[in-house]
Amino acid sequence: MSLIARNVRYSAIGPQGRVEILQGVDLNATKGQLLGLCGPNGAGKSTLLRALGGLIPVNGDISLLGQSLGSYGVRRLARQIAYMHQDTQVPFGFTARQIVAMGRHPYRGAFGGFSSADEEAVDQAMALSACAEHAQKQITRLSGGERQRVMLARALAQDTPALLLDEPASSQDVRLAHQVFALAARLASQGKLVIAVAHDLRVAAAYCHRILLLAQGQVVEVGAPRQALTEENLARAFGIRGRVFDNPAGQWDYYLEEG
Amino acid sequence: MSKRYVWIWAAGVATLPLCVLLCVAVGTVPIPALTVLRSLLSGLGLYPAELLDAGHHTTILFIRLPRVLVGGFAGAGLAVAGVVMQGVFRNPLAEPGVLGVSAGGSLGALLALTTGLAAWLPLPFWAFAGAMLAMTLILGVSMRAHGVQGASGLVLSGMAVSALFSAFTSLALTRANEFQVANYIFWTMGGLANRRWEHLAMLAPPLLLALAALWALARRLDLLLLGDEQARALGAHPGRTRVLLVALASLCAAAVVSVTGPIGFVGLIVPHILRLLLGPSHRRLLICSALGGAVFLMLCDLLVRVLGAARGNELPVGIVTALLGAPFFLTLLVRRGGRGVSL
Repeated sequence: MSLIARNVRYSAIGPQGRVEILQGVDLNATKGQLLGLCGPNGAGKSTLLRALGGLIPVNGDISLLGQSLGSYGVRRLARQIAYMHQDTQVPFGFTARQIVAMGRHPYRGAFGGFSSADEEAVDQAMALSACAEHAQKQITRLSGGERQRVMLARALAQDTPALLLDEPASSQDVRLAHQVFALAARLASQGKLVIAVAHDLRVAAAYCHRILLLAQGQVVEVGAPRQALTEENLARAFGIRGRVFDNPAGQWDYYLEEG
Repeated sequence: MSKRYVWIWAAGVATLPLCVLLCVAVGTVPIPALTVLRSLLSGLGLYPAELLDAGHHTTILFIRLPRVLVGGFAGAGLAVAGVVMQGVFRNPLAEPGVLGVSAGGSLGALLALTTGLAAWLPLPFWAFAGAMLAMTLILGVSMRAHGVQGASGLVLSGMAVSALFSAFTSLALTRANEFQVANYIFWTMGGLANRRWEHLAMLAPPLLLALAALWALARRLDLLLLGDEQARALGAHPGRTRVLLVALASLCAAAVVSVTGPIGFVGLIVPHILRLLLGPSHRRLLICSALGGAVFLMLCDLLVRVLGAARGNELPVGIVTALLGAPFFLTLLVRRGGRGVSL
């Protein structure tokens, strides 16, 4: 399993005319690795992830297993790539379990019911993402964090070799945020291809095998956390003066210098 | 599968035959339920017709039964079309005629009357053709309309094409004679009076076909509720699914409208009541709406016939659907405190 992007370009028409959101991005993701997408707001992380998921048409080549993404049918692609959206609002009173069960759609026949394998995948996914207790609750009544874990469960229930997560822990508390990324790293170690947009640099550095640092639609650096998140790259990507150091646990850490 | 769903489903399935029996038995001349049963059985060749009162037998098999069945199918078709349209357009007020079915059907009916085509083939056929023409035009335009994406493209082209067809209808009305206008108005009133087996034969096949296809697409409609991008990520092509769904729902609505004329409110109220009871999952909503719509319209028509027998002339069934449905719906809305009224 490999997901390869070459010279991906994407532009959108905004209020100030045409905006180049992705300006020739290259990316190489393979199974067994958790790849973190980091960068400032508006860098194009979500757009890149959507392009990788085949959700928006872009210029350039994106190939999955050596085959162009565009040649996959929607249904076939959904059996290869699961995508977790950043926006978790669902304006309809589905129960959490119904939402997670939608992740089984790519496997279900038009007239078929819900098989015991489907049930099992749904239960397992909800247990993994710590939302099993909310199964029968209406999604509209859950908190943002709970809703986000339901969405994660839906992506897991899709049981795909590739998993694309757009800020999967943005609404989670510290403990749960670490849990979510630990889960992503574990799934990657078990052989999945996982790409996650990560907001918290410390969490990203702690769990991602590789990090792609994106700024203004271009790749600043890609590599192991310590190689990607250098003081110089932080300055280039975020415009901050950060001091990078190893914390007492021997993990990558940083603080901001005054001024 | 929730307990409530099983309960409602079982109630619907049990109510349907009882409702047919009741609607056939009650009328200007009440017929005992046992006689009705025997007549129905003999219609199926399971009971010797010689043992039956010939008058009752004719009334049951050739007047009441077809009318009741047309009512049942029409109610099911309108409710199902309503469920699908409201889901696809994510608009609680979307009605079966969003895709120009009413406007197209009306023009087809009127043109058939004014040009004399109605003498060749029955009026419902031409109304159906008009409705399908309008729908094809709307779908064709919206699929070619770049820039206006998704559901809004369908709504906008639907409005424009409906306006165009209505204009042609008005134009044709100015050139029609009194007799033709009267016939046309009679058709637009809608109703189930004098509906016979040939009407059922025109109504049932397209309806059953569309229902089966919609049942197969119901889960994709659920995915569409989450938005186009999430639907795509979960393996449903949003654009194609939407076009298929509205085409099938329009087929349902067109089949009904062309046979019964426009009947309001069924497609609005039955889906909403069931959504309040069952939640947004469309597979169960479709089945329950079909059952609920059938029972609802059959009972409304029963009331029309009973009141008609007392007054001497029949009210349009649309008045009764609104009079019965609206208060029930409002009560439910207040009692549930708006909970679950997410669509």
